[in-house]
Amino acid sequence: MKVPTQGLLRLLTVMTPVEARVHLASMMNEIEYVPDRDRTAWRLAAVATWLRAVFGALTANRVAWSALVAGGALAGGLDVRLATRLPYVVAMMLFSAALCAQWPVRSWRWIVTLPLVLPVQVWLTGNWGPYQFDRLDAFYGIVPALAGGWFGGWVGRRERRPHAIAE
Amino acid sequence: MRRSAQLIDLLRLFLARPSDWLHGYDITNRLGISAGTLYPLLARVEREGWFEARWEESTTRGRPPRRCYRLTSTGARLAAQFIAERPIAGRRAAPLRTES
Repeated sequence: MKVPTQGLLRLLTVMTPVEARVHLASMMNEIEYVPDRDRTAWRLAAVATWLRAVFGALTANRVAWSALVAGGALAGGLDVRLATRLPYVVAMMLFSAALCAQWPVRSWRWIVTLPLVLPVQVWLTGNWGPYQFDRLDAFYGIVPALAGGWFGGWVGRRERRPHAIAE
Repeated sequence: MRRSAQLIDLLRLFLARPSDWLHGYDITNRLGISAGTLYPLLARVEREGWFEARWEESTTRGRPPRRCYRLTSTGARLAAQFIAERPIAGRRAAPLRTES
């Protein structure tokens, strides 16, 4: 079991936010020096440390998350009330583009979670609106969010390039 | 820096041996705290510049390098002030374990 366990732990190190990577790597390396009786506890601690680091990095920006929930709920409200899908698609693209342009670092977070606001919203309110007979339709926001996010991320990174700041 | 009993114990341990480099496992053994508590603390004190760290190559083939930690001179001064400022209410200092 040694090789797969250590391999999986190494994989966690690669998937760790840069700021926490050195400390997780030092913890992983230290496991090799820990007596067998303590290794399981150290491995569990390493996984817990990784989870804390990832969760901390992903949720640190409260302004962005609040904007995401507000935007997603607004777009979702449009979708549940209107018979046409176009307003929702446009709103998702715009919100996703705005979030990714404003916060381009780890912008995949916005692209993945923004389209989930609508399904959560209809599940919480019990109002499935047009999705009553095909509930998977509630997830189609991922496509416009991806398109908007790609464009917004490109704009955001371009704006943050050193020469752009110098100008 | 936010005060905690574990942080105070960690600083006391290093202040008692200011020139020694210590590894994570040594520290958990001496303080009786878990690795999950220790490493976030080490990250904080290193980020603040109180500790310095280095990778130590293993003498055994196939083993990865180990990270070891030591107080910086600034860290030693600040740590002593930090401990003296205000003890944690209702708590006695944990006894430090001797080397095994």
